Formats: sequence, C-alpha cells, structure tokens
Amino acid sequence: MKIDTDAFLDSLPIMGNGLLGIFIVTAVLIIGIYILKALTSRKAEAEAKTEPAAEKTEETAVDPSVKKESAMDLMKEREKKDFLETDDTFTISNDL
Amino acid sequence: MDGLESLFSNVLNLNIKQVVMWIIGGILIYLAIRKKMEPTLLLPIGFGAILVNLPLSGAITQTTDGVVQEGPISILFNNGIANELFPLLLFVGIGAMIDFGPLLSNPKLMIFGAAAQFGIFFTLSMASLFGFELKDAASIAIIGAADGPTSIFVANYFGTKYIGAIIVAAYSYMALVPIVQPPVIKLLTTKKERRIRMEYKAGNVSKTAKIIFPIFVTILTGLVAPNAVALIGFLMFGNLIRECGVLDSLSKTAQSVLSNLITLFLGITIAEKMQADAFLDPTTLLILGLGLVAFIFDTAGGVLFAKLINLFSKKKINPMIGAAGISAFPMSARVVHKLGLEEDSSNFLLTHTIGINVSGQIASVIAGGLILNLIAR
Repeated sequence: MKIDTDAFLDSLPIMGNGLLGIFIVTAVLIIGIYILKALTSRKAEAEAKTEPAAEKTEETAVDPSVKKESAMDLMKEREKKDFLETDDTFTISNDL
Repeated sequence: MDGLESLFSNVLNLNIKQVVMWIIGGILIYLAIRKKMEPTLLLPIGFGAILVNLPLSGAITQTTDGVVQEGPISILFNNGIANELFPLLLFVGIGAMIDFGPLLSNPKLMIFGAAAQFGIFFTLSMASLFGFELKDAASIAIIGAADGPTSIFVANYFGTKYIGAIIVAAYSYMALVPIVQPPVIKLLTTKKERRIRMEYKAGNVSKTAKIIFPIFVTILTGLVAPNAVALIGFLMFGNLIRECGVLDSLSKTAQSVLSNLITLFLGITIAEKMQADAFLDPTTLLILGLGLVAFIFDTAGGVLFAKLINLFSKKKINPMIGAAGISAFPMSARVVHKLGLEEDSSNFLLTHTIGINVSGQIASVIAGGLILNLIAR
C-alpha cells in the first residue's frame, strides 16, 4: 500500500463534480415533483375526499361509539405498528 | 491401499488460505443465523465461500491438464452477475416494494438523500489516496451507497478485481446500520437538537402522480446519467408495476417470488469471487475499512447538511433525519426514528425519515450513475 497524494488531488474534481451533479439532479427532481403535484392536485383532493368518507362509513358501521381521532393520530398508530413492531429479520431480509 | 490413497489424495491439495476462507464462511453463516444479519445474503455467501474453497472444487471452473471443466457457480456468475442481470432483476423487486408516497408528499426532504451520498465521493478520494486505481477506488466508494445491487453494478462495470470484498462489505454494512449510525449521529448532534420536533403535514398525492413519478425519474436520470439508466429504469419499472393498479399479480410476484429467487442465487454466485487466492489479500481489509469510512461519512454528510440548513432556517429541523438519507431501507429510517423516541418518547420522526430514506434509494442509484459517467472504464 502506498500513499498517492497526486491521485488524491486528481480525484478531488471528480468528488466536486459528483456532489454538484447529485444536488443538481435532486433539485430538478424536486421541482419536477412539485410541478407533478400541482398538475394532479385536483385529482388528489378528489381522491382524498372519497377515501375518508368511505373509511368513516365503514368505521361507524363496526363500532358507532368509536372515539373520534385525527387522521394524523390514526396514521401514527398505523405506522408505529408497522415499523416498530415489525420483526427485524423479516424487514431486513426484504432490504436487498 | 492405493485405492485409499487416491481417495484422500485431494486432501493434499488443501492449503491454509482455503481453511481461512472456510472460517470466514463459517463466521458469515454464524452472523446470518445467530445475529440475524442479512440472513438471505450472508448465509448463501458464507456457504458459497466454503464451497468454492474446497480443493479442486467442481463448483467453479477448473483447468486440469489443459482441460477446462466448467463449474455451475462460475456459469451462474458469468450469466447472472458479470452481465449485470441479477442486480437489475433484483431492482425490479425492490422497486415494487417501495412506496414513494411519503417522498411525494414532502419532496423537499429529498435533498437529504443527496447530502447523504457525500461518503461515496469522499471515499473515492480516500481510496485514491491509498493507491487504488481510479476505477477500483470508485467501485470501493460505492459501498457507501448502502445499496447492494448498485455496488455490484458499479464494481462489475469497472471490472474491478475486488468485487468479492466490495459486495461482502456492502451487504455487511447494510446489516450494521443500527450499530454504525447511532454513535455517528450522537457525536454530531446535541441532546437539544435530537429533541427537536418536526411538524408533519400530510399532503395529498394522487394516483396519477404516483404513476408518472417513476417514468419522470427514469427519463431525467437517463438524460443525466445514461450509464445508470438500466439501474434506475428497472427500479422504477418495478415501482410502476406496483402503482399502476392493474398489475397486482405481477407486483406481488416481483416483491416476493422474483426477489427471493434472485436472492437465492445471488449470494451463492457472489462466492465465485471469494476464492482464497484473490480474496485473502491485505487490500481486502483496507476495502472493508474504506467501506466503513464511506458509511460513516454518508451519515455525517446527511446530519451536517441538516445542521447547515438550520443555520439559515427559522423553522428548525431535527438534524438526525439527515442520516436517513442513506439507501438502507427501511433500517435507517427506523434507526433515526428510534433515536428520536429515545430522547423524547413523543417525538415522532418516522414520517419524515421514511420519505428521506426512499429518496436515498434513488440518490444512491443516481450517485452510482454519476460515477459511471465521470470515470472512464
């Protein structure tokens, strides 16, 4: 093993260009996603309106005395259950 | 007596290096079974390491007295990994597993995915400093992507002789996320910073947006990094199958059967590059060390970038979430979330970390593609 400072210095522009490149591509992606969301926002709102309505009907049918919770609380509960109680082995196995 | 001698004559071909590889294989199997570290990969790799290091192993191609006898593992390697087929097929399965919803509802968090790729480029320079050729340095650096298929793809593209060590390091470190990340995060943040709460506004994401997203990412990445378009394309193809809503059966197959099938052969095939003579080299240790450097600096890059943003932002963000920008999904998101809960049991960071973690998946592939573009083969 040898220490090659010349090779290190030669690699610095690649490091700079790589980092710059990834930030530029990511920025374009972010802008693209915002445009995409803006273009499809009406549809998203319509979908969001229909889904909770359906869920609510179902919920009430099962247990009318169910305590009213915000969507955020329900989401937190669901995700807590999914991610914190998941068997690590199984999840890690899925991460390929 | 002669019969007995010939029966055991192959024992004389055994050398100490092969025995060391058996021990390494045994350790990998132990880690897979007892410690449950990436068992789907470490177990086949460990077993494969023993299999290919038996003297005159028929599992790999051998040339005896000028006669070439092809081995099944070498055949699988040439037709599954050397031509980059296995990692690409695996990406279809991974794409089908990922829900980009959290990322789409808060796209600006994606910037942390980019910041957390710092370790890759930093390690590229470090590996160059230690005398590795640029293409080998690039292959080693990509370990920091915490992304097995991308590591295989890049290492294979450059035809590096260190591919065995690189793949073992990439998958091992991915399993070590819960051990490697917390100390780095704690070192770079104060208790007060770790307790910062972040508001979450669930944005509505339409099905159309979810369908267009993989197509958009493929086109953009293909334009910027054409060499990586196969990687991102297969990943996004898997995701499109998932989101389109009309291919549920294919989506489920990609998520389970296809992924399992490829993984089944991937591990044992990688062992082709774990033959004692090539693997047992001091540079292997150096590669493992550099892989760890890449991982640590990826984590540090994400955390420090978040702290940098906090300097200019009125609304403070919890800098720990930056660490979730590495591609190890969903371990990294969960590790950061749990660290948040350790500091404040009602601090719920998961919705943010999941979005950043999936963006890390995309960013690591883009980083791999940029490396392929920036460095000549």
